[in-house]
Amino acid sequence: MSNLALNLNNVSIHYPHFDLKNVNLKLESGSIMGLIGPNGAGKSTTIRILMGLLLPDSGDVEVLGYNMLTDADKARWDIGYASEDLRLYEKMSIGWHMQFIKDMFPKWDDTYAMDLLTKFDLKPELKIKGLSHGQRVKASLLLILARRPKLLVLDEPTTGLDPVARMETLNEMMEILRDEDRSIIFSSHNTADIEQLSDQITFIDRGHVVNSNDKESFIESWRRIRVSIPDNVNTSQLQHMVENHNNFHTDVLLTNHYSNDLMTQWKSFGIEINSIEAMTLEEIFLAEVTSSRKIVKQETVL
Amino acid sequence: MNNSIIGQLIVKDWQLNRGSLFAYMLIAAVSLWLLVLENDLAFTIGSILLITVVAIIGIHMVFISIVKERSQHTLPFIMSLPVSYRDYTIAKILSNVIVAGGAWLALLLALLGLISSVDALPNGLIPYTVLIMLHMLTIYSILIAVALVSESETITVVVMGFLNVTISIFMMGTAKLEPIYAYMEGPIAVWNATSLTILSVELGISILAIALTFYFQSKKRSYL
Repeated sequence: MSNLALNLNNVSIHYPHFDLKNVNLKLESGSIMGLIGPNGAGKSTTIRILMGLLLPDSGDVEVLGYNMLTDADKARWDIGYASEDLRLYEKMSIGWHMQFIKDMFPKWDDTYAMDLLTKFDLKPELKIKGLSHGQRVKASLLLILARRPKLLVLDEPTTGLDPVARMETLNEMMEILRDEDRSIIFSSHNTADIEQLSDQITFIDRGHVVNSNDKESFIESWRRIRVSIPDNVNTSQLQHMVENHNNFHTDVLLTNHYSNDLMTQWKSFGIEINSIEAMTLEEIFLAEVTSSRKIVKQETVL
Repeated sequence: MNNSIIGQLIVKDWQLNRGSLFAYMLIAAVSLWLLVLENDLAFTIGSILLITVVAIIGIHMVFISIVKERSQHTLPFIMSLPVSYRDYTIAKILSNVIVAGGAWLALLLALLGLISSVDALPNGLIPYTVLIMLHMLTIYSILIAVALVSESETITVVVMGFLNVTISIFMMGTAKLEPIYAYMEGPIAVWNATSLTILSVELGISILAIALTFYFQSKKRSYL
């Protein structure tokens, strides 16, 4: 049996104003993947497809060994899903929801549920209607965590949370990964959350995966390099130069293939390197998206 | 098909709606009491109240258990569980049939009991009463189908308005049919070709509405 928690292969779906194109994603069991993308990039569509809530026009979707096009209901015994647009029943209490899920899932862990109630400062008798946004998110998380799912699929789990609730949510997600067979895929606008938690990062923009790799590779391969370029050198000659910003007397070049060899090669053109700076994940994300859009634009022109 | 999951979804719908349903049944009991007062005004009010309550129970169930589940975003919560869309469709139809259909059946039996036991109400009314109640069941089946298939609050409201208009048209139309009205005041219930044809057509439409619901649901590609 494959050791992949999820495997999306060439998944596409067409809408009148949006296309998700040839999405390929793989996540090893025990890993955590962060999906980053701007609004409307296709993060939620991808997540709905991998949950089997949306059937793609083409491609294969396998989660925990199940074909999600035909057996999504079976797979969902071991998947916990929370999304920004998921709501609990307003007029019912947290306790009612806990009982509802407990009756359905034999693996429901009462002790862990009580522990989470205390940790999240929730009370079973509280009705959903009276809860704040943060409390609702925590109640949803409690309901999926106490089921002890093998895979957590979270669509924007920290959006709209105050710093304390955000920290509690992230801490609990990290706690889950102590069990090495459990995996998480989550989307977020917040690159700090993704950077803090993820082993693997996938950048998604305008319906296609811009890049997907492990976090360390992104951090190690991207650099911002301040250089002085002689007048006779055309930067387009420079290998792996992704972006070039001219800043008065200094040029700022971005590369996604940083290495000492690459620097030596650039120097051979007469370029003087003034400084080499590491980039934050947010900067890497923006550079990835910008460069991807440029490539798409060039391809469209051609 | 997962029977245990379907059962849990039905129980969930019952728990979410039982408070309102008890209130409706109380109003239905009052309307039945008005029917036996042997007073023309009380009988008229009781009949209208009873028909209204039966219609409201159906509408309530369709809106709270189907339409609102989508508009209030509790559907993603349910569909995140090990529920197939077939399980979901079966659970919704069954919970509506059991809850609203149960209320409908209880009221139908109560009405038939009243007509049979109260001297002022001739037994000849039985076919007409059954046909009206069956018409309500038919429009209810159509409403469930429209709510599940269209996934639209607006479409469901428009169709509901149209279907409700058909109740008075149906009541007036059938009451004007000679093979129906000729026996309404009679001492015995007469089931003739006309009443049995109407009954069969109404039942056929109900079954077709439910069958088409399963067909269209199976063709869907988005379950949210």
